[in-house]
Amino acid sequence: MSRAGAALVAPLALLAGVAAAQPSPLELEAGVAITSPLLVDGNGTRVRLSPAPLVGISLAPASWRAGRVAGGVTARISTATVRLEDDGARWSGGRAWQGELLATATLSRRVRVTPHAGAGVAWLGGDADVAVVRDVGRRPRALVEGGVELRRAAGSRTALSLVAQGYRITPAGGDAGGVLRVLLALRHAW
Amino acid sequence: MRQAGFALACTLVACLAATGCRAPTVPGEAPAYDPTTLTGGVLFAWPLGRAISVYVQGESRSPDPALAAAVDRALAAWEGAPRYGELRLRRVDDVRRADVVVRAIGAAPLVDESACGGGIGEGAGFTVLCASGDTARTLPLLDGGTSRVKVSVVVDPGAMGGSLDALVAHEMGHALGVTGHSADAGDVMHVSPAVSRPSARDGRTLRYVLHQPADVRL
Repeated sequence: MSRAGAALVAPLALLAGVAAAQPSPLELEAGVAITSPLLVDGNGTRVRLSPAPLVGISLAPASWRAGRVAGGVTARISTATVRLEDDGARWSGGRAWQGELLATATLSRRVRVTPHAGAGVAWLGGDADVAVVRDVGRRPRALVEGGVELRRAAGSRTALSLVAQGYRITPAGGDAGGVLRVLLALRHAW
Repeated sequence: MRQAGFALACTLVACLAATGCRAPTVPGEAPAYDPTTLTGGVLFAWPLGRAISVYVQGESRSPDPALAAAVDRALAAWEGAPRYGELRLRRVDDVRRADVVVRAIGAAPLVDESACGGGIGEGAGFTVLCASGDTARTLPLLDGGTSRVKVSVVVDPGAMGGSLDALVAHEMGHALGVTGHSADAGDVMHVSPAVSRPSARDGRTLRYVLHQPADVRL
């Protein structure tokens, strides 16, 4: 397993281990992420990511609850194809992945609509021979997110999750800008 | 529900503010030198994202090992110049699958190089490519087979004082669309290059060529 892969799997394994060791609320999620352009080149090329399947795991121990707010940690990983566009031409730039680790604050799950906010770090990497992926990979970057979970009934274990998250990239020789992702996922609590 | 919607709207605005609302950018690049001086201002360019296949011919019709190795090094060097994988370069072992043919000057040509009435450059090497309207002319195979060859590169391995790598890298630059010469001897596209790999200036010029509207599509 590559070092990058180990770095991503380790937190997931840790979370699963903690959950197995004590009766703590654990949630799994699976969904898709849509990402804004990673880079716009003045020569005309736009670097985008395809819709990215994602999986994630969240842990919110009862001891991290304060009133109606539950603290937790979330780890996610997603993978996408790098898509390049220039003046009508389109081609693939290989595969890229994003891993995230966040601390979250969620309002009580005993209602049908539960907002949450989170902050953490994201890593972007891949086998793409695309400059922006090469430039920014392996360095964690600050990530913020906010979202809601929608349940058919209050207290239901299954929820539809809609999340918006953002981070900044500074490409080599270029100007920093923001990347916005929208995540749509199904979450299920154990 | 209204409170949750308001909370979501606030977090979306916060995310947008945090990300700066503008995608990361890099500035466009001007060429380091005119890439069209040898074709009278006409820009030849390959389609973006295209895999370009190169066949290396030897004097006995099988690939010359030294020439093939020099071509491999040149392809690897030039492939690193584009920023976004605009060109993928690979060597093939069948001339019928080739877009570019490279031969030593002593080898009998496999394609009809006279179809273009001459080539770019002279002396140690030259590159044959020409237009048929707004697309590059396909050079016919002399055995009558189906050809997709657009460019023929001819090099004299005995010239250049033994710097075959420099000669091949230079001619491959022409084959990729840099149909001009640099005045800087530190660039591989100098008429007598002192280097055997494309410089940063050569890379910038190739990237410029790749992203301009082509006068002639290769």
